[in-house]
Amino acid sequence: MLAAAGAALSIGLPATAAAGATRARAALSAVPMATSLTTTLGTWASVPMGRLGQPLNTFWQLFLVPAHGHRWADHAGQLAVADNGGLLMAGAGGRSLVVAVRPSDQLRFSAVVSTTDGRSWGPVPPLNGTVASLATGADGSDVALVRGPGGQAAVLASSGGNAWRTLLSGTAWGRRGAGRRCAPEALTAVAVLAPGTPVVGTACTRPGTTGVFVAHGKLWAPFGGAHLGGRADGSVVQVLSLRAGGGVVSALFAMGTGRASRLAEGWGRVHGPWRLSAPLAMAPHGSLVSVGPAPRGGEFVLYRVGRTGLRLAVVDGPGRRWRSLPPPPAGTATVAFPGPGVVEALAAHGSTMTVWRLGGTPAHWAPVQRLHVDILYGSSNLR
Amino acid sequence: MPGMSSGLNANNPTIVAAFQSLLYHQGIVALVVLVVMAAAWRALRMLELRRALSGAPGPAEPWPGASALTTEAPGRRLLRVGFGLLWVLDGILQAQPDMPLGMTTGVMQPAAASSPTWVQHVANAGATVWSFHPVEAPASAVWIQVGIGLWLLVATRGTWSRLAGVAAAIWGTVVWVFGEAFGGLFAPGLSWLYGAPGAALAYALAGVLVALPEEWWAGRRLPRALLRALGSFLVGMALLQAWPGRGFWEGHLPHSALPGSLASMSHRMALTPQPSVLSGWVSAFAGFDEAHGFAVNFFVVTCLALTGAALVVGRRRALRYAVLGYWALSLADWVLVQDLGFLGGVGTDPNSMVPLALLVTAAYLGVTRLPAPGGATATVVPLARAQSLGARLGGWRLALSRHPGYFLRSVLALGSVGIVLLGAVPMALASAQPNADPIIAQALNGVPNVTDFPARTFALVDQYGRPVSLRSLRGSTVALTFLDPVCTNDCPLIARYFRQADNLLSPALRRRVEMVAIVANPVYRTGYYVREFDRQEGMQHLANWLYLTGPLPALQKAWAAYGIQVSYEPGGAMIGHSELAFVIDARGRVRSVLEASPGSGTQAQTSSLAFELAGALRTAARGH
Repeated sequence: MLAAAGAALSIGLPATAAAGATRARAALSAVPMATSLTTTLGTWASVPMGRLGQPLNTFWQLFLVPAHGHRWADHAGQLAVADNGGLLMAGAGGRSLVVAVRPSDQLRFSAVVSTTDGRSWGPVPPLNGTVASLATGADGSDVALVRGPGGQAAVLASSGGNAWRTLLSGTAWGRRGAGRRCAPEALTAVAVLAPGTPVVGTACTRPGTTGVFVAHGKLWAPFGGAHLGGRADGSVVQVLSLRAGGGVVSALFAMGTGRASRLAEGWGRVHGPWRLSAPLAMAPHGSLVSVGPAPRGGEFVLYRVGRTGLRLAVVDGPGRRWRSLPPPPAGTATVAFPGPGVVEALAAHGSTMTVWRLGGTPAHWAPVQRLHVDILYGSSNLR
Repeated sequence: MPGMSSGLNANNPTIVAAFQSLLYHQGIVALVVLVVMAAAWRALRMLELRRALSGAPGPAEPWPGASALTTEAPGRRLLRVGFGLLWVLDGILQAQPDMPLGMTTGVMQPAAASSPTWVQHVANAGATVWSFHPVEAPASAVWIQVGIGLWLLVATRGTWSRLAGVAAAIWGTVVWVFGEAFGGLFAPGLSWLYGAPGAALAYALAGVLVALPEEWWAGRRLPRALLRALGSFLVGMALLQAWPGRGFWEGHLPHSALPGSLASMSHRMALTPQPSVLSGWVSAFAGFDEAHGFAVNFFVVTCLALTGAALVVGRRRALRYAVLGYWALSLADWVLVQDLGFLGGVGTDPNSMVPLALLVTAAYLGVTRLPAPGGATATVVPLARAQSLGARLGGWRLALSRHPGYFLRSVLALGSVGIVLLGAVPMALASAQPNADPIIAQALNGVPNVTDFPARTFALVDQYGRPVSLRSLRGSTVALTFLDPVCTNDCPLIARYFRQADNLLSPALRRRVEMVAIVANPVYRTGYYVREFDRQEGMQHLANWLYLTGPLPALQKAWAAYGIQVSYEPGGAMIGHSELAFVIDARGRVRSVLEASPGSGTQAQTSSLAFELAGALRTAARGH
């Protein structure tokens, strides 16, 4: 099972006031939605294109390269909705892909749609608000983290095409019971561990706690070891993204602020401690461009250093170090892993998307495909 | 500021043509009024002359108080004639073709943009009247201002003249509050250079001064008080201009390549449409200020402070130089900073420099030149002073026979009042009308097509899953459109004006009307989506609202029956579909077809479209 991260927490930004010497709070920010994931149909990628400085002329594209193909193709037109607000994808490793289209302009709810063949799309009930994180289970059940019009976040679930029902709302529940150790201040990500078992990631206010919770009936219990101990180095931990599969939940944690900003990928089971990767230090003013799943249960992080410098790091498993790959070309919105040993960067400039593949010795990026996307500028603007 | 815009381009041909047509017709009426007045004057004069020739007794006595007449005070005359000409010029400027649609966005909105919220609310109320009635309101403004100007010019003395001052004061205040957002008094960046305290306030003040009893102008008390008030104002403006941190002392903002406040303003003004010579001067001044910002501001502050002080102190010799200097400074600012004020297509007046200078000069004349005693130029007949009907009749007959020029002016003043009313009455009626004019909808979508053909049936389900067909709606008047429930702009706006149209119907008619939409999206057509759309737009509160959906073939059949094209669009764009509204009468016949595009969804457009749709529904319901 896979769950794509949505809006969550960012790192490397100026910190807000800390409550104590050992307690540093990372700044809240939006994690970019551009990402990629792989289903049995192929590898999907969501990329913003058009005039990125103009929200209503920024159109998100949904690219697919088939499992046994080599050419990317755009499927955004099949979504039948203006996607200026952005796309969130979720796949469960099988054939199906669920896409939430965030609202924009006059629309106030998120449209949700799914496909099993990449050609025909069927509607899933809409979500009242802006979807921040979306996950789907192998049984077709979906879980979403939604921010309502008033900014209140809630976790909702739907299965079998039925209306969404609220599982969790706000963070007041975290002040008592199992949530006390974390004292969450925000819900940040969701995943589906098993049919009917959602997992939710939060931003804790207490240092050193992970803030991942799993549903037990109507109760929420800490998932894995709640404490990271010395690995958190006394800083608060925020869950940026969650994925789940095979009884294992993987989470991208952000810790520290300023020059101490760092990321770590963690893998955990219901009854067991979190096994962390080595930390990935972020530059003080670095910002995330894309995060997503890498092969073998790993994670990739595409981030920007300074104004233009892009960095790409991949981690493969617990205790491993992050591998730095050659900096992707300028304009890269996300990277994808469409086949064994294949790494591709998707770089967008206006209505042109260029696919770069990493290869050669020494490894370097070379263009392998150029796509022109018909973008109807002005189609989302009122006359 | 939701009411500030009609959402149409300033040169929309439908609105401009309607505006010019209305002006043309009202102009004919104004001309007829003046001709009738002149003919009446001529007829009465001939009658009086004939009576004199026949030896009939003339007027019993002259009007009371005639012996006490004096000539008009020079200061008052300057205000009356000067502002009379300005009002006429402003009226003519109001007739520019960009005024109907450009006034709110080009004048009112910028004036109110940086003001506090309460000022924006007040200005928005006025702008809403203008944007809801983009033909009547600007045409009314033309005639009100031309009428006031003529009134001031022709009514030289007496009650007629003072009433002209009252009218000028009232309309000047209206323009100052609603058109100029209190002249920007409550906004940051207030400066005499930019037009503080607002030209219209000067117009209103001049109106008040003309409306005061004429005797007040016979002494020096009023002009001296006016001089002191204007002097204090200029000293205050000098202080404000000298206040640090407002960007006037610097040619460039600190640590920035951006020009200072004054240079920035001049640069912006240089970009407005105008003769190249003028824009060259303005640009050159902007460059000069960028290079010598401190010196320019020092000069301005010094001039304002010295002039203000001279006006407050009131020494005659100093006053003369102060007034001359003030005129020079005002002319420089008028040309180089305010860019004459009336260019660019939506210039409503020559801005504040000329009116303020007129006020200063009138006060100066009031102090230095008292009116001469009467006798030599006794052209004044204050008709309203007559004590009795007999005396009044004697007064006008005497005036008619001995002072035909004055009598003509009085008649023309009456004609001017008629011209003011020619604008004021439609303006008052428009202000009382809460719905926007249908012409906005026509400017947007053209005139509705009046039709009479049988409506094609459909068989779908409503938002609650109940089957609905056109046959089941027989007996009701139906407004039918096609909406995409996940559309991000037009469809929610169409739903809003459908709801507004429904609210315009009487309760009795509403019971016989069904507002119906059919889903226009091949993917998001489940009940969840139509209900979510209804919830988003509050449509669930409409008892007669039906949002129909169904299997794709049934929807496609309905789309085809009404000629609705529904297409996937590439690159993440929304579904494309035709935007039409059909009004179907109770017998199932399509009585009108309306383009349903909601434009940019401004209040004016939504209101106008709703008004148009409600009208079409009423017509269809009556036709049954």
